[in-house]
Amino acid sequence: MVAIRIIDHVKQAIFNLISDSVAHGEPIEVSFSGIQAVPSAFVNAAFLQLLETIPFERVRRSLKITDSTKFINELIKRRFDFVAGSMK
Amino acid sequence: MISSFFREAVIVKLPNTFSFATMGPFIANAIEAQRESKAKQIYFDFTDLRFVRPEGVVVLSNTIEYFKQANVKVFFKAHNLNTEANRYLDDSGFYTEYLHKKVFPTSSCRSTTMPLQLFQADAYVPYLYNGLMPWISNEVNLSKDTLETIKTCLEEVFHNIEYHSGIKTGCTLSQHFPQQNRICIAISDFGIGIPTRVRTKLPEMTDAGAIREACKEGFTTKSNVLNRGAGLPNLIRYVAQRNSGTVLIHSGEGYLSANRGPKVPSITSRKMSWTYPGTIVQVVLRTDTLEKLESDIEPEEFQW
Repeated sequence: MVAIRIIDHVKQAIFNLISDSVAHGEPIEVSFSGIQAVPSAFVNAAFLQLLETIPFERVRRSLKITDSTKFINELIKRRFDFVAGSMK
Repeated sequence: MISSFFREAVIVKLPNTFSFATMGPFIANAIEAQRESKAKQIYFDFTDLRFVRPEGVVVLSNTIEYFKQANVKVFFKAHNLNTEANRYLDDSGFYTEYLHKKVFPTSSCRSTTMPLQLFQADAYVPYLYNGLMPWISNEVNLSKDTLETIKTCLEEVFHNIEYHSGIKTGCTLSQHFPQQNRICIAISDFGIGIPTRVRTKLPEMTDAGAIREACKEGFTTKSNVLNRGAGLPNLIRYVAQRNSGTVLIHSGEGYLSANRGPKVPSITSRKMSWTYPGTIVQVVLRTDTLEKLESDIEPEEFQW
């Protein structure tokens, strides 16, 4: 029997929901309302994956993060800074 | 330290104190003795054991699981001696796990102990969310929300077992030391270990070098889209710099410790004289600095 964990698919679902808009440079907002912290795997799957096909500048212009916390913000920025920096 | 009787079995004595510092010779002797004799039974002799550290319980469990995987049956000897060590093992659920019953009738889990738990690598969430975190919250009298960042850091360790160990189970135990303002969380697996995993990308790397590499931001074996080399650095950065706690990692012959540094964590790694079968991560939290972590979950406007 194949076990499906919803939690794994949430990250991928967010990526699927935002990737088209970001790829076309359209503004899109992701709200973290009700969430205080996320692990790095969440940021990797939901957001960092965008950098595989979309330039960082376009991601930065399109993607707006709202209702987030200091912890979430620092993690997202650090991961993007590192991955985008290493791709230069 | 080791003796054998009628070929089929070997006996390995536990040391007087079973801790991170003394577990090495025990594991090395047990594995070597069994390998040399090809015995299908191994006895752990608790006669000399007087004190067990929390990580010692996890290591002992991990070693038993290692032998089970190799189809070697593990038996206990002198485990019913009424010593502090045996009482702690009983109170922490160790004997219930392996003998399916308590050794001492008066044993019960101490409030300061989150007992030994074997978990499925892909099903750690209920344990972490509904077991460990509420226990920590209760021990330190802080809300679960305040500890949310700690939860995500611990999730990095469980995630590593799920995606990198190549094994389906792990074991964990946590202990609160109220007088020292510390909570020690020991999480272990008997999988392929960090060095083996790192060498799939960097074949020449030593065990100690491999663990250090795995703790650098950006190092990844890219086993899937979730893994991009941020888990261990994230854990270490947060626990060391924000909580002033400690992270200790032992895998194969490599050992790494991370503490608070002036701007970034102070990390040291070294080669051990013995091999740990798998990986053990110890997260030592300072309970007197946990409260300030509340500011990390305050709302903040995101700016690129």
